[in-house]
Amino acid sequence: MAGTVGGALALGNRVVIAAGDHSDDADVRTYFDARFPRSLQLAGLLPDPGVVAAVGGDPSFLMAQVNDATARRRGLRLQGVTTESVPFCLEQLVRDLPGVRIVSRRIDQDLFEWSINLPLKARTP
Amino acid sequence: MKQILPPGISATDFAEALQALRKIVGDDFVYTGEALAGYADPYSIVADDDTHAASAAVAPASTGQVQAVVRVASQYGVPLWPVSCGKNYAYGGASPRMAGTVVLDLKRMNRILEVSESDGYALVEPGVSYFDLYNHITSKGYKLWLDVPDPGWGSVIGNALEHGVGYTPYGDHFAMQCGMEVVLANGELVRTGMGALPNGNTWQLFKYGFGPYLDGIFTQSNFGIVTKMGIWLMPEPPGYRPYMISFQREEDLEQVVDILRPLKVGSVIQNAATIRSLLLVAAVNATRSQYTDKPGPLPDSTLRKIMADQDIGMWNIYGALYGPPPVMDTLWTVIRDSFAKVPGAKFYFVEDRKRENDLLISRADTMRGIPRLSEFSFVNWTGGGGHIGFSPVSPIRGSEAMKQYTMVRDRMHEYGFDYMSIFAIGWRELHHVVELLFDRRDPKIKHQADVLFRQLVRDAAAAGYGEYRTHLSYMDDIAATYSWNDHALMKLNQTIKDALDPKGILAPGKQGIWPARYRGSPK
Repeated sequence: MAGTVGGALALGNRVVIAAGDHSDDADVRTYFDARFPRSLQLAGLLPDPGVVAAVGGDPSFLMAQVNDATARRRGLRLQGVTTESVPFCLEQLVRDLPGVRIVSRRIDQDLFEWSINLPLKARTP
Repeated sequence: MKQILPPGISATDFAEALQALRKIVGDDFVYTGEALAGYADPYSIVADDDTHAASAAVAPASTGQVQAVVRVASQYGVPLWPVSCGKNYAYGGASPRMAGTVVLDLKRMNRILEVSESDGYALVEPGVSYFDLYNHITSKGYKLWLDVPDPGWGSVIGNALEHGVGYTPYGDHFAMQCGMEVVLANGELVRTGMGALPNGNTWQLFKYGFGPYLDGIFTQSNFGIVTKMGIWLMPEPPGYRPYMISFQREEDLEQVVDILRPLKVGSVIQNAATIRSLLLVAAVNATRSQYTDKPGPLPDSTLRKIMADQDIGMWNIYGALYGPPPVMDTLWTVIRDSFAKVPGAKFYFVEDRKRENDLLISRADTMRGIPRLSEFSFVNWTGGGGHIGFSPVSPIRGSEAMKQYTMVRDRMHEYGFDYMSIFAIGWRELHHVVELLFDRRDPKIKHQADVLFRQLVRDAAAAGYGEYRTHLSYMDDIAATYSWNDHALMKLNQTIKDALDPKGILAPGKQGIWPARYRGSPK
């Protein structure tokens, strides 16, 4: 699946696609930090990036995505190249979900590549 | 994974105790081994990872289960460390003070038992987070506002018990609590205030009841486990207008604080306003590496560039007006005219701030009680985002604020750290919350941060300042600074501790209060 980054790129440095703008059909959501051009470039290289969007200062909307996917028993992969507060907050928010763990690695002083998989369960047709 | 045991408990006895706990809460809610990863302090700066390691965790679902757990702990002498949501990051998270303690995780007790729109309160269990209560209030359409601290994922009860603050006029959370239910170390259940009256209907309305006011002894303490608490909620005001005022020079802090005191004490400034330092505001939007790759204090030219880039000041007040528009207009005239005396002061409303992540935009939510996580962005400043808070208290006096600021700033620069802080304005005092940022993957920096922190505690105590809250690792150090009359306060705390918890099972070492069985032994 090709990354749908066109809408984000068109807005340049003011890129933000709010949580509500994401496609309901997407199984993969990829985030970058618009302050770092390298972040978008690297995020686009992540496997099967799906919907690509900028993440702003407040990562709590990611939990809504996790809750939504859990409620709908849908598989979901969240991934990104961002500053560390995003994966850190996400890691704490999913702490109690069995078997769900975040994987992250540092890329440079500021950026971390991370991903989290919600296991697929009885996917809704 | 290495097994850690509670001090003085054999592996056999501990296994028996865990089995007894499983019978109470179910197999799925006693955690050991790898399942304890979530109870490690992500911002620990101690060299030894085991210093605050739990031996197990147990998550009861009801007050009855808490009582049963406490009785088992008492039988086996197993120490318990109660946590509500476990999000007290920068102060230790869900980790216990003493290695080997069993975390009593109250996250499953997450019921919102009552919200009274007419009387303006909620009665909640410890696992209810600010997000939970906010979502509940909004889903029901109640015309009530919550007061939230900076990160909204913490527990309503936990934050009040730790003397946390928020930013609406209801910002002093413990002042806004009313009525507790507490499980004592012997398993007995107590209700405080009017809650002691069977069939009463004023438990969440009148704090003091009849006789000694006890609620305070269950805050920042290890005298009981709070399983329910009332919290007052603010009626939705007819108008709301958040604002920011920036000041351009370091030395402006003195004049700003002196102007602020009468405005706050006289309720012209209605909410728990804050003064934020340049880098703390800047760090929400930028990282250090975007300005320099050199260690050490940032030169003045860089600080000026940051100020210009983000249109912020060396100091920045974030406050809000509440009430009917004519009242807000009048209050704003007084506030603006007062601070306009500071040369170079700039005044902003939300519509004046255009940056995507501008702090006033997120503060506008926080100061009206909408929980967020946006302020975690500041931990990205140095990369690798660890932080702990150093939080001395001073009078609301310009000379005192400057004295604290220069004392702390100089020490931080000496040790190679950037100065970032909030001065949170209380009713008569300033909480000077200094954020000490470090790369949590760098043991050398963490060691530096540890040495610096201990020095800051000594500096503050020598100048007559005490901290109002601290990370687990410094509880003993800070408790020792409250030493008037040969540590009379700690002796009283220990007397209460020994009377209420003779077996010493509840939160050993919390706020430096050790039960007799551990007193004097190395931790």
